[in-house]
Amino acid sequence: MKSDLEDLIISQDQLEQLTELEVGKIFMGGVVRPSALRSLGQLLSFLMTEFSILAVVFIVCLGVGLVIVRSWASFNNLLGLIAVVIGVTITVAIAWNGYQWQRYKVLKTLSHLLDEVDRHNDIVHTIRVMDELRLAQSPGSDPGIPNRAEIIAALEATRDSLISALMTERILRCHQAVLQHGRDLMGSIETNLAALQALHVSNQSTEYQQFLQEALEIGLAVQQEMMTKTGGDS
Amino acid sequence: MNYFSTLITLLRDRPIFLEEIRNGTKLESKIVALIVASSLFFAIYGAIVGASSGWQQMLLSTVKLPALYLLTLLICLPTLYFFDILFGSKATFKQYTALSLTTVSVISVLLFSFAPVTLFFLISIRDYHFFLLLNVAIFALTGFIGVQLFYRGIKSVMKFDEKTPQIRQRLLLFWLVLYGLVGSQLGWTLRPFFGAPGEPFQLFRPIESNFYVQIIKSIRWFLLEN
Repeated sequence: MKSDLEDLIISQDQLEQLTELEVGKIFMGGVVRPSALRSLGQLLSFLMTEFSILAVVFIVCLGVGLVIVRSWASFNNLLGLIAVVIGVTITVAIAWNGYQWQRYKVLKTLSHLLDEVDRHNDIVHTIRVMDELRLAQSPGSDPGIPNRAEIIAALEATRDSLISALMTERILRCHQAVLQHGRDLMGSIETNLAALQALHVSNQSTEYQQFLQEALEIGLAVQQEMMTKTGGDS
Repeated sequence: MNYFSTLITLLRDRPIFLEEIRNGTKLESKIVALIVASSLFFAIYGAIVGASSGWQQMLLSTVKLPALYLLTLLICLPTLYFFDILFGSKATFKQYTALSLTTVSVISVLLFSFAPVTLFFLISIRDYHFFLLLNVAIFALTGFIGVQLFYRGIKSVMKFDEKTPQIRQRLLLFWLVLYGLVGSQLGWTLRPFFGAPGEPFQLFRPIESNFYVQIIKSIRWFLLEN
């Protein structure tokens, strides 16, 4: 691959560094990517993974069940035990898929971004193939496709945008609790500020007016600061 | 997810694999891959040893053998983790899980590699005590190699050196003994993995003596009665 195209690819290692999650074609941070289910091969791979994990759950649960019933002198109902273990396995499957769904809500934006990254990488691969085909058809000549420079420039811009978006998504995701706390804090600050303003108006003629003025100024400064910090998130 | 490529990486590029565990790289996928791949190999070996006594025993041993190894790990892992962090380890539970699964995985691959030998003796020699002792030897050998690799692996990942408290090394050795004892007792509890000749299918054998007494009995029978 030509070095300019190589640099355009957003590799899996880069994705993992940017997102701080394990990212693959099917999973992102242990959660299935819905786009993976649209391809038959990846759907089968996902089903195989799910089946394998449930098989292991079944084996472990049956093992535990066998150890428990071992001490029951009159136990002879293996089918009953297997039915219970299957029930537990199905419960685990439902819980696992429920957990996946909950996690997906948090990673929905990332999922969309990763789909765009895949599209971007596909375009880069296509250009590489076209370059190779042109080189094979006319050896020694310039392998470039028409408007190649513009396409590369556009892809560079896309790559930069995607990387910025992935970094932003990670920051927002990792600091969700802080941002939520920030919004609560903002509400509290605004309430406090309104109280300060009311106090300021009702006490303009008192000797405490200077303190209230200062408190109001501090309140306004804090509100301004918090709006600057959390403005991008709202 | 390619489980077997993870396992091959463990077998082929062990230092790299351990380095990745030390750095916490892709621990979750490693754990899932090692659990699934080792369960499959154990299940295959379980099916082979169970086949000596009919299809019912074969099906049951297919489940019992992976359950034996996974449950042993499940029982022993918290002891290793909590004691080790108590004495200064900074590793995470996922790192311990991945590390201990390397042991289980190596054992499963070694058992799988012995499967043709076991199958050959199963077909050619219909001698229960020989088959029993052969399998005990195979389980002991694979277990010993797996545990030894784990011991080296954990010392490498946790960067044991002269400054490491002596208690952590002793603790590790104690844990390995504990792992062996729990594994053998659990195996004894879950038996039979292959049925005795002339006996009908049994989910369990009655609890009698213990694992070690039975091995001595079998050796005596094998040496004196044959």
